[in-house]
Amino acid sequence: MPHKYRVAIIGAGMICNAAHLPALTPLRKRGAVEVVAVADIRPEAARETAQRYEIPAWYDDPQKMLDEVKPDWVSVCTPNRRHNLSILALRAGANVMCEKPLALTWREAKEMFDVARQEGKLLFPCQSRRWSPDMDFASDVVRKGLLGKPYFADLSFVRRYGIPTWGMFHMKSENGGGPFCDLGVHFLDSLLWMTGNPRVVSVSGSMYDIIAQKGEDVLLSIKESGAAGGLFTPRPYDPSEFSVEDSAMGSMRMEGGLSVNFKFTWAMHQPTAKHITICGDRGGLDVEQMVLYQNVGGYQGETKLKYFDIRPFARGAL
Amino acid sequence: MTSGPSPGVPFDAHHYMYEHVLNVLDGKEEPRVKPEETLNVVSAIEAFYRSAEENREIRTEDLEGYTI
Repeated sequence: MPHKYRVAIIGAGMICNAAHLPALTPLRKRGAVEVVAVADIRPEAARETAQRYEIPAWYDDPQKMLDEVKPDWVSVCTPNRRHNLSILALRAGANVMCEKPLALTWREAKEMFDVARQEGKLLFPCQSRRWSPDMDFASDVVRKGLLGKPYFADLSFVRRYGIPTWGMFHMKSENGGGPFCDLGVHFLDSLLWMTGNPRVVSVSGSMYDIIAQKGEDVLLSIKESGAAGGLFTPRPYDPSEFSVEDSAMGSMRMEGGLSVNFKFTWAMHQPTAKHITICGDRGGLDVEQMVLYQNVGGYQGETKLKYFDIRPFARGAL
Repeated sequence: MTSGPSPGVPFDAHHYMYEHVLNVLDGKEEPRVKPEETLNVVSAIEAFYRSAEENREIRTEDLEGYTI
């Protein structure tokens, strides 16, 4: 009989309600876990989430929840600046899943992993994008050597007008940063993972908040702003609170010769894109179009790679 | 409780990730996301914001506490 884990959640906003609790549903149904409590400093968010997902207890104080419920698995779904609540959960004896980015500075992230090691618990950063079909595909192509050794990648995660206006993403005090933290972290993590984690040597970047400060063209679609699963107890948006970047761009160098150009935006007057190009000595890959560029016998070959997602979830088997 | 997942729902990657973490805790799989990978990503985040604020290239080895 597998252990039935007692799961508690800290942070009852959009990602908790749209991603974590739906993902926990099949685990609950087959008895692998029970969700025992949810905490949010906004009591109405905790209460509504508990009602929505039939969770027996809710709290407006995460430490009180940890003390009383003693969960053995905690998912941290707070704004970025509160991801260090993971440390409280680890110290309380829980394994922890923490939303991305785990931290905003190297020192903070190191401390979190050190605590996990001291406590003998798992600290798992939610780099969920590694499981999305495009990254599943791209990592397979890279690992099979179809590109040879990658030496250049171009990462564009561009929202034309999609500033998240329903949480605290736009507040530096709560989130630390904007689209580089929110979108860029996914593409960068996935690229480093599929290329063998070459050490980042240096970064040269720029950031702007021009569109956000104008207050126009901020949000045309809730879905494009990142809440494809809907909003849950949204917080009213005040443009004067906007204190992070709305666009981030630049380049970075990795050990071993890989260089990366990047462009991550919530708002910019250009087409929406989730575009990744990875180039090696043998070939180049357009991840979004799933096209492999190679020299084929002296011809410019463009091979459309047909990808079939045969994983259990895609087959409806989870 | 809402109904179970079906293909095409938002945040489908979270479903795989939760199945994975359950298997890790049950000792059936090794964690796919490793500390050294996340530390590398976080170093890029920290270096990016410092670079944008200071208008110059930032080397990760100059970040506070950074060790290889």
